[in-house]
Amino acid sequence: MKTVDGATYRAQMQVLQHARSRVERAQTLAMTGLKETKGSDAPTWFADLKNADEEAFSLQRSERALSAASRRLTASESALEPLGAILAQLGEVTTQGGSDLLSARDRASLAQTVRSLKASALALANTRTDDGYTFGGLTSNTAPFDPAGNFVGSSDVLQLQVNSEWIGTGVDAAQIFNPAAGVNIFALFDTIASALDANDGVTTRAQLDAVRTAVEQTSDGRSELGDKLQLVSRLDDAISNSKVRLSEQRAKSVEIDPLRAYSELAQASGALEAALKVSSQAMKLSLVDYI
Amino acid sequence: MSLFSSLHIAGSGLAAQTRAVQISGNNVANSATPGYSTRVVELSATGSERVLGVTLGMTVRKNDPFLRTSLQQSQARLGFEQGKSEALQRAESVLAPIEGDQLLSALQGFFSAADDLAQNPSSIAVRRTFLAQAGSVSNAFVARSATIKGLVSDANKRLAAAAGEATSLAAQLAELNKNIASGASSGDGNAGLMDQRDQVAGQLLALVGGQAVTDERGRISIMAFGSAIVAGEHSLSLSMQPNATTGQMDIVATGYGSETAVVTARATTGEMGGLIAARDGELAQQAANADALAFDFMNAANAIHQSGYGLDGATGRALFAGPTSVTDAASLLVVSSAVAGQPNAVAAASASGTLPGDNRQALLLAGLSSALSVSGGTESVLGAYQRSNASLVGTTELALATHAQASGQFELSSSMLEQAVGVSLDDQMVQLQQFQRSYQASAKVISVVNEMLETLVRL
Repeated sequence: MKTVDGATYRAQMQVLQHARSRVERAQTLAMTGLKETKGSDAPTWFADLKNADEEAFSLQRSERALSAASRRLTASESALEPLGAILAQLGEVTTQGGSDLLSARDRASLAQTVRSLKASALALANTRTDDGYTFGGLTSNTAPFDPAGNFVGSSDVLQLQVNSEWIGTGVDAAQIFNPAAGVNIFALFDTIASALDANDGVTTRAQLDAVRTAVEQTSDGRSELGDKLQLVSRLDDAISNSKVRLSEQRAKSVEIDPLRAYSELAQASGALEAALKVSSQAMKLSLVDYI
Repeated sequence: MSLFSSLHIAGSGLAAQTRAVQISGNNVANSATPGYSTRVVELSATGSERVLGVTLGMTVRKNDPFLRTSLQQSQARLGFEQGKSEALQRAESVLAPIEGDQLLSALQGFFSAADDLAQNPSSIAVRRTFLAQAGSVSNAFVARSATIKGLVSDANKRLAAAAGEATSLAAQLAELNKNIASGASSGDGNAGLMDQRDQVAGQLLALVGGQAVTDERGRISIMAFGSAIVAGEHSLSLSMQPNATTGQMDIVATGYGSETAVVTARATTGEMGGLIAARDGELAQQAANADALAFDFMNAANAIHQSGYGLDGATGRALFAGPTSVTDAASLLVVSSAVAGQPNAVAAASASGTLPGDNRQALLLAGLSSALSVSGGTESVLGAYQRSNASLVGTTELALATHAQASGQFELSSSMLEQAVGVSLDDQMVQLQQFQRSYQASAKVISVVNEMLETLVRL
């Protein structure tokens, strides 16, 4: 096949253009850290990239939901814990007040203590954070307990979904403070205080079982919160593991190894330099120079 | 035979070698001229016993009809693939970028804001942010629709430019056909005209595709778009005109007697055919996908929002408004005036009795990211969007691959034709040497005959 100059020059131009394109591509890959420069270079890689981004977004949302759930549950736990101590104190006062050796004056003093404990318990029941009243349920903008201790909140708690798990972000305050089959805690305070005011040791002593029930109600509430916090912790661990897996998968299928990127760039640059030298030599070879 | 006959014989040699050198010189001068075919000198011995010498015949233009036809076919195919792949690459860079996807960011922002609303349904600040993100989504859909329309407009502009260029080239080709048929010379015999004719035909084929047919008089006719764009010495003109029914631009061919025909449906070759394929194929599909997604998303979000309750206890309010059908839905989507700027109107609750902490509708809105709520309940919002982008990417990849293939075929055809008819400087240098030596030899013969005549005269 005869070699003509036009074909030779065209071939040289193509080689140089190809070498330059390789260098540009290698530069872009080294800068972006991705295996490809655009989706149409490798549609399956593009799909992997978008799937990884979508999964990362989904994990981010789950993390935020867990954080919100954890915050609310921790606030509930922080409010119930001192309530247990208050009820323990109530038990002590009730035991003391039930003694036959106490005078009316002593019992009156204990009644004051009980009323003070009730006020503390009421304050805990009406704990408020940036998320609203902790035990308000869905009516979180209004105090769930009136000054008399009657529950005026919502038994429904805010639900959040993480992956396919539903998490209640609180406990039903009615079940803790005034369950249908349990003890009305605030009424209990009033009953004990009234009995002490009336210097009635027998009635006072008779409330001890109710105090124990109230303590159990609080413990049950804390236990429920504990279960939910454990669920949050488990989901958090799962998300952390997923993030690690996603990061590894992304590094493998979407991102380019930096060392390989720089190596390809060096190779492409070397190939361009070689192509330029060869072109220079090839274009010098002509009979015109020898005649 | 007399000595004077010998002088004539040598003289014919001088004349022939001089002309041959001129032709070689012309070849060398045009070695870099695009489309130039080597001219070949035809020398033949004068064939009678009484009249000897050398005769310079026609200057022949080298040609290879098979390779030339192959090149023309590859030019037509390359034009199509180039038009299509370039249009799709432009679309991919703005509609399916690796990073900075406006609509995807807006949708993700909307779902994140819905998450925040679900976590804190009574917060006015959170509700304001949710409405702002809803506005971002509607703006992003509008922007995407505008971008696609811009790509279509760009394709139409390129089509208009190509139509104008094709019309001009067709007229040039018709004129060249006329000159070739009438034997008009461009100073190089008909060879120069034929070189120009082949160049113009190649450029026209790249634009309109189709087939080139050469008749016995050397005239090329181009058949494309179901019409004779060039028929001998006549040519059509191509232009773009709006179609009132489809709202799209059509290719119109205007004939010799000003009769017109819409040829868009038959424009399946050449660069114009490639642009039409991209415009009416993938770009139209992307527009339809954006409209369908916007409409379905609006309906899904509204169904949830309208059954929910705002902080003010009211219900039945839509979150989005604008489109009444799928047609052009993406460009019409807006946040409903019933909720715009009114955070209390955002319906995060499922019942009025559980305000303000009820977040069940907010959870459903957030769940739209993965719920099968669009495309007839077969896809999620984000899934449908990713599928649309994946389709564009896949189509572009295929177009690029076929373009590369067509480009390679064109380069091969060009190279083969050039090797067959192009100028080889080495060949021309050798021939120059040959003609120069022959000239010197003929001059020597004259010199010898001259000396012989002098001897005779001195007798």
